[in-house]
Parts: sequence; C-alpha cells; structure tokens
Amino acid sequence: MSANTPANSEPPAQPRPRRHRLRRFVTGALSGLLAAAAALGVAEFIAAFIGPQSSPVIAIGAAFIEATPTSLEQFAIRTFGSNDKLVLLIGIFTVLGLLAVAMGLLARRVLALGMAGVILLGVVGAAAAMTRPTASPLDAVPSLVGALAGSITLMLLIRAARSVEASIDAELSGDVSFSRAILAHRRFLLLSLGSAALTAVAGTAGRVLLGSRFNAEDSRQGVRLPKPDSPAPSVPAGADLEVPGLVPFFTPNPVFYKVDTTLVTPQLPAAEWSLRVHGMVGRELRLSYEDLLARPILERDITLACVSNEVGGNLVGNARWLGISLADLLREVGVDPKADQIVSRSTDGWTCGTPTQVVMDGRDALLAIGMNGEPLPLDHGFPVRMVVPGLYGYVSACKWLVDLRLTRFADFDSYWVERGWAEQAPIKTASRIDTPRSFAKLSSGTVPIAGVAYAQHRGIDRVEVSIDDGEWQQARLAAEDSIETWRQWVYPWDATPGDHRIEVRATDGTGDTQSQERVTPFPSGATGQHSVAVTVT
Amino acid sequence: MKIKTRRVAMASAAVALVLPLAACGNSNGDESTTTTADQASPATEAAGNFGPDCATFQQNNPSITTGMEDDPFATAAGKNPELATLTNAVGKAELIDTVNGVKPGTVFAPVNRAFAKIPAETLNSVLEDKPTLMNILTLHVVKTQKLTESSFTESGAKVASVQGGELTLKREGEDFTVTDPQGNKARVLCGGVQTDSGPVHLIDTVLMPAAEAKQ
Repeated sequence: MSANTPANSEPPAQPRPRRHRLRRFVTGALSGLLAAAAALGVAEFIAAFIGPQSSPVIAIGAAFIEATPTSLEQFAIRTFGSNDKLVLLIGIFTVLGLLAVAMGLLARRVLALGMAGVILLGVVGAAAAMTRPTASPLDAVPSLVGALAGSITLMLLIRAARSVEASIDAELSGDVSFSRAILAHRRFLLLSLGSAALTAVAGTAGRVLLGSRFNAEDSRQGVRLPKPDSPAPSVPAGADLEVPGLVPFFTPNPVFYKVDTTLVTPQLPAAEWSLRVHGMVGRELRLSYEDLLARPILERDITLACVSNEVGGNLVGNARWLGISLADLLREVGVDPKADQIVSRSTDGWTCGTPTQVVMDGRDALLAIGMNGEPLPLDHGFPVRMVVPGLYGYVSACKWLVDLRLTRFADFDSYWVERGWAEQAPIKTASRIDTPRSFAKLSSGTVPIAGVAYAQHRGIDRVEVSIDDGEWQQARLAAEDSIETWRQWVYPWDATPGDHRIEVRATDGTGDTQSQERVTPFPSGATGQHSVAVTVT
Repeated sequence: MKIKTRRVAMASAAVALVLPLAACGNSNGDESTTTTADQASPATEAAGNFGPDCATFQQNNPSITTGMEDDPFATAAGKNPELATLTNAVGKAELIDTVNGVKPGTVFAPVNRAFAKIPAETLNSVLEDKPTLMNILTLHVVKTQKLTESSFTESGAKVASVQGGELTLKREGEDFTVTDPQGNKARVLCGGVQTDSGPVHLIDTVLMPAAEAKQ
C-alpha cells in the first residue's frame, strides 16, 4: 500500500476499506485454492510414474478408511448407504478446499506461513502414502513434489495479488496511470488462468497415464495359466440337474458375487506383484508371480460364501479354482506352533484373519491365480487371492493378496473382527429355493421345486421340502462333486390349486439338520429355513 | 474489468478443482459392495426421494429414508422404524423370505400410523388370519417394475399388484396418491426410498383388495 498520501488527494470514501478487505479476501482465497489445485494436479502427474497408491487423495482416503472407528463407519453406512465412499472423497476434497482457502488467506498476510502450510499438507499426504501396506519411499514423492509446486504457485499468485493492491492504491492516490493498474490485474488473471491450466493438464495427464501404465488388465491378458499338476476330479454326471430357474453348478465369473471395501479396484500387474510371508515363521519368504507359477499347481472346486448372506440370498458362488497349496507353503517356511492366526493383507490395506489350524488340517486352502478357467478377474482379486474351503470370505478369502503374517488372535484383530464380527467363522449349513420364485403363478400339476444346499467341509447328506407346514419330504440330491461345493436338489411337487408356502431344510454330513431358528448375518452368519410363497391355479 | 477478472479466475479455479474429483469418480468403475447379477445400480441420493414428508423423516431419523440400499425388501423394512408394524405383519404371514425374493420390484409400504387407522380388534384378527393378511399384503407389492416418481401421472397410471388387484398411481401437483381396488386413496408420504430390490414408497393408508378377493 502507498505509504504517502499526497496532500491534495481526497480522503478515502467510506466504502473503500470494505472493498479493500473484500478484494484481499477474494485474491487470498483464490490463490490458496489455485495453489492447492496445482499441488494436487502435479502430485497426480508424478503418481502416474510411481503408482496409484502414491496419489495423495487416494492414500489419505485409504488411510482414513483403515483408521475409522466402527461407530463412525456405521453412521456413514446408515446415512449414505452405498454412496459412502463417494461421500468420503467429497469430504476429503471439501476439507482440502477449506484448508486451501485458509492457506491463501494466511499467505496474503504472511507469505512464508502460507507456503509452510502447503508444504505441511504435502507431508501429511506423503505420510498417508507411507502407511499403505506395500509402501516404498518413492510413494512419498508425488505429495512432496506436489506441495512444492503448490507453494511456488502460491508465492507467485500472492505476489501478483499484492501488486494489484499496490497498483490500485497508487492509482487512487494519483501516482500512476490507469494502465499500470490494468497491467497488474492482467498479470494476476494470467497467472490464475495459467495455474488452473497447469492443474488441468497435469491432473488429467496423470490420471490418463496412471490408467494406461498401471492397468492390470493388460497384465492379466498376458497371463498364461499353467496346467494343474493336480487337476480337479471331473465333475460327476448329474452334478448339474439343469432345471430351468436353477443356478448352474459353476457360477460364471461376470455374475459371481463381489463384496469388498476398496475405494477403487486395485490395479496390480502380475510382474510387479510379490507376496511377503513373515511373522512367527522359521524364515521369511518373498514370492514373485513367477515363483508362484513354478510351484505345484492345484485345481479344486470350492464354493465361497459371504457372511452377510441373508437366508435365501445370493452372496454365494461356486468356481473351479487354480492355485498353490497354502499349507505346503507354510510348512516350508516353518510356522511357530503358537501362531494361531494367519493375517492376510490386501494391497489396499484390508486384513483378514484365518485360523492356522484350519488351513493346515488337510483341506485344500489355496493361493488362487485362476477362476473358472481364466486368470482371476481384476475385481475378484487379480493377480492372487486366498481361498479356504469352509470359512466365510471375511476370514479367509483375501483378494489382491500381498502379505501373509503369522501371528496370534490375541495380538491382532482383522478388519471386520475389529468391527464386531466373529473371530471364528465357519460357514453355516444353508439351503435355498431357486425355483419357483417369489409369488410365482403356477399351473397345477407337477412343478419341480429346486435349489442349492451347502455345508462346506461337512458335505450335504439330505435335503427336505415341506409344503404348507406339512410333513418333510426328501428331495433328490444332485451327484456330489466334493464336500467343498454346494449341491443342487430337486423335488417334483404335485401342485394343487391355491396359495402355498414351500420351505426347505438341509442336513449336513455330520447329521446336523438346519434349525428353524432365525439369526441375522451379524456377527457370524445367518440361519433359518428358506421359504417361498406361490399361487397355483 | 476488476469484476470480470475475479469471475474468470474463480471459474477456472472451480474447474481445476473439480477435474480431479471427476477423474476419481470415473475410475471407480465397479468398486461398490454387494453387486449381484440383476442389480441395476440405483442412482442413490436424496434427490431420488419425492413426497411431502421426506425432509421431516430425514431430520427425525435418517434410517427411515437411507441406509437400506444393500438390503432386500423385507430386511430393509425390518430396519426402518416407520415400518415396524408392517414388518410384524409380514412375519405373521410368513412372507419375509418371499418378499425378500422379489427382485426387482416396488413396494408400497404403509407406515405405522397407517395401521393405527384400523380398529385394533379388526387389525388383530386380520393378523391371525393368514389368507386375509396375505391378500392385503400382496396388494402392496409390484413385481418386476421399479416404479419411480415419473410413474405417477396426472391421469392416473394403472399397475398390477402381486395380489392381482389394480393400483392407480396419480400425481396432482406435488401430491402423489395410490388408489386401491376399493377406491381408497393413500397419500405417498415419502417415495423413492432405495433398497437393493427396488424402491419403497411410504404411504399413509393400508390398501385394501376388492371385496371378492379371488383371482
């Protein structure tokens, strides 16, 4: 501001100080926002050369999800439903925006402090990136370089804003011509547009490059699955009853259920994948994808189920998996007898705790690379996931697997256990009516009632159907493929006119029959006998 | 000149900030939870709701209008405090699994005070009479179609319920009504509540099937 007010100038009119303050506020806030945008754009561009996990926003988001206390998470899911991740991203950007405005206003008064604030935010982003499970020191680079770019942008903009102020004051007190003021304005405008353009170009280029460089789909297309050393026994004739309306014996990959907590589908090219096996083991091990392929390959049919599955729900699917024996791998490294928990970790930080004893008891627990004849689809865990027959997914089926740590249940709670779900979670016996469907209108005569039943690792002994709370009638079971898969069943019903209710129950290989008792999926899986009401005319 | 400068600069800042957000949004692809074969992912937001009482419901208890997006119909109703009586009725009719199996579809859900309009004695006897109860409840369910705000027309759109009776969906300005085969009009208090199976429209009256209920 001009220090000398010439004697012959008019005293400033009343509104002038307010306009002054408003202009200072706007240019300060704007500079802050533009500097923050530039920081993010540059960070995104650099992240394209290092990896998606180094992008500050993604890293902060992932760290936040991991650190969220259960109560806040449940509040978010209740309030926002399946939009909760989008809300998280919007929240992060909003907070960043507010902080950026604050930095800009601070810088307008004391430039050095504002710049220090931007650098500090960069450090926070870098720190978040370093907390990621597969972090390397390189992951800190995008946030730090971005912060540097941001603080330089802030400096240039604030200086330009200050000279706008100075030129206005000079003009008002008659020192300089109108054109000097215009030039100062133009400079600020050009700098603003320039930094916005830099942000847009760097950010977009970064996103596009990231998409192409770290696209795991190309890697997946290039994978040639080996032939199994131990193939699955051929599926017996009659394992698929092929009743119209009944799900096929193998669930096709595109419709196989998916449940996870990832913000974006992890892109993990096989060539860059490695698995670290450590913790309470005799020796540590690090495996590459090639190392995995060189081991004996098993092929097994296993039905997976999600603990959140309601009675009659479809969060269950059957596939032919290709992979290596997890038990053999663990025997090779030597497991401390006190290590009762295998904590598997996904590339996005999600953890899963599996009882060591279950994995080692002789069942075919796999580190899977293939699903129904092709490499794991990206959203089903490419390149490697865990599959343990008989346990719900949240304690056994870690996707995008990058880390196995042998520890004790007493020492560590995995993701969902932290949030109240059961530590031990064997799959409960279940049965389901696939056809006829709810409220179906049927013609009297023979109506095939059909569905699936499963009790992984115990097998299915018997399935029974009851019509209108009548006597339990035995249904015909499809041929058994293995005790780790579901079994189809069919009951030829002599349907008479009227409203009817069909109910089903299964008995497992140990002789236990499903009870009528209803419990909700939380905390260890739903129970109850599935029923369907139909009308026959 | 000054004003124009500020406006242009603010606009470019806004664009620069939105760009990374848009890029993040686009790369999200299929990251959402519980995806199943026939789910047409609903554009879940408050903007999908319609009706006079949505704001009040949201304020009193958000779980009346949100939080059920991953649940099938009956489970969703079970979590909704405004649908406690309805859930009890569905349980009495032994239709929980069947209603959960309707997917896709639409449910017209009478709120608790809708049931309070029925004399207590009548309501209790109906709750013990399974065939009658089932007849009434299935009048509130439409299979296959996901009926939204635009399904309610000025002239009155007719839809067939599972029970067989016809429902008329009418819109008069900002009033949305559902008329049952007996001619009774129920008001939609808040429509478009999202579940995994389809929309639920909260109504203020229990719909009644035609006197001769055989279909």
